[in-house]
Amino acid sequence: MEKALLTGRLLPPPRALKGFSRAVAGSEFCQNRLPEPGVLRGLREAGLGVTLATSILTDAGLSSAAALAASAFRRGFIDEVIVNDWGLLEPLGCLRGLRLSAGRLLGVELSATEPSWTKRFLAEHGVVFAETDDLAMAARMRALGLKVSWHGPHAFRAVTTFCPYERHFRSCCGFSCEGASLTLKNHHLDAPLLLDGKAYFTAAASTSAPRWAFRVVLRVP
Amino acid sequence: MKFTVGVKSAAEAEWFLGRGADELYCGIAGLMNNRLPKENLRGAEAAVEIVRLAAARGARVFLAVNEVLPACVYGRAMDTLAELRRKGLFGVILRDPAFIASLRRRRSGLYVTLSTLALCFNRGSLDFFAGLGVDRLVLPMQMTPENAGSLLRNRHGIETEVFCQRLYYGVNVDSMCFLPCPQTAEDGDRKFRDFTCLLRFSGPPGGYRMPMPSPEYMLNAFYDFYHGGADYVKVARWPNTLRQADLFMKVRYLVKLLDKGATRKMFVHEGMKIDSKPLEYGKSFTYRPAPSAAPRA
Repeated sequence: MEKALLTGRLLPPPRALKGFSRAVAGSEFCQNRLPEPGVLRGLREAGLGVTLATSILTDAGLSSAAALAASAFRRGFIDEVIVNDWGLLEPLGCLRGLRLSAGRLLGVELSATEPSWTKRFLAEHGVVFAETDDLAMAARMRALGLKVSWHGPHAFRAVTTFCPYERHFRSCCGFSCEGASLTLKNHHLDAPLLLDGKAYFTAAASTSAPRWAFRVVLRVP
Repeated sequence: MKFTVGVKSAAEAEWFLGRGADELYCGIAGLMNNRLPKENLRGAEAAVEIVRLAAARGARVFLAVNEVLPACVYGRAMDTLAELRRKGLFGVILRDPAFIASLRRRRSGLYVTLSTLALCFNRGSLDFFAGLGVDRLVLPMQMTPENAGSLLRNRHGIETEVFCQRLYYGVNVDSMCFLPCPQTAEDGDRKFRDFTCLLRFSGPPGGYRMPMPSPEYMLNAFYDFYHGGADYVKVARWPNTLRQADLFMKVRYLVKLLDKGATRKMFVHEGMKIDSKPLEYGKSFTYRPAPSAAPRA
């Protein structure tokens, strides 16, 4: 099973990359956390395969993500994009050889839609992978013919487009969330929530990747 | 800006139609939609009654089937929609692209509203759904006017519908929130743990609550949606009918201010006087439908 590191917006120190053959840069949950092209180049030069993760997008975010993906792919910095927005599939369709993965948000929709329509849709748009942290969804995605990339150890629970750190919707921000994940506790809940960027997670330590997942994606420790 | 109002019964339909609702929508038990099962009508006959009431006032009725539908319910859903279409149903509110495509292939003649749950945040997504044949888009609740220009003035001629966020808001993207929630606590056992987005958390200094924009921001957003050309404002179904009636009257008041040409400053000033918590669904989430007599406003 391939081991990938979720690196986010920044280039991690070389020692953090040890033991990984791939980096997943960017974010599935915040469009502001797109990395600079130099970060993607740095990861590639470190000998890793590089996947660009993208989120739900505004018009401005759609333009930025599409432009970054096209430029980085043509320059050989990335070979995969995780897509979570219906609107990004079309602009990426013209990049022959770029592999697409249905992200954890888009996967909620695609894993439950009528299978014959979904298979045609995935084939038309070149989607070959699926990201998930949920065993049931993983099985449904596998049944659609997608290779499953498993995220751990936390499981996605909710996303907002209103930044919880800076309290705005803007596409320019101060990246206050960088390195500032919060553990949120309340005695009414069985387990704490983890806030990372614009998404809430729960610890899913008891859920490990299915044997047939082709990749596991881990967060920077 | 016209009013689209969700109803749970013919009594509610009559009440809202009598007070200015331009359109109604409802759900039917067994046809999946994003509300509590008890907020749905028992069957198609109850929907026909609402269609009849609306038709008498020249109003249109939609059926909400706004979940991703498993293939096994397609046949029943298509049959029900076809039957209701014959009896005057105007449109259907959908989220599932595969189902929209299937409905369009059957040339049902139904107007299709794309649900707020459908993750349509930009022009590219709207192009995708326009290709499937949607007639209206309900903007995601977390969409802001500054990002909505290409949706409000889209090149497909798709109508748009918004929420009045000052009065009705979700702190997380509605269809992508899987935290415990009263809407999923179907056993009726709604305790504190089911209101995750209202809880106060410890951890960070000073504690933490899931944040939302300020009331001023949301009033300004509604002002901008109105002047940006949004065609409809939605007042969603609610378990507690009095709460929904109260919400409707407040939205109606705000739209009246805008219709009269209120300046932004005056609109925000007046709007701030309204007593409302956009996320107020604690006790008000208790199921309390309209009695047979019309509810009080």
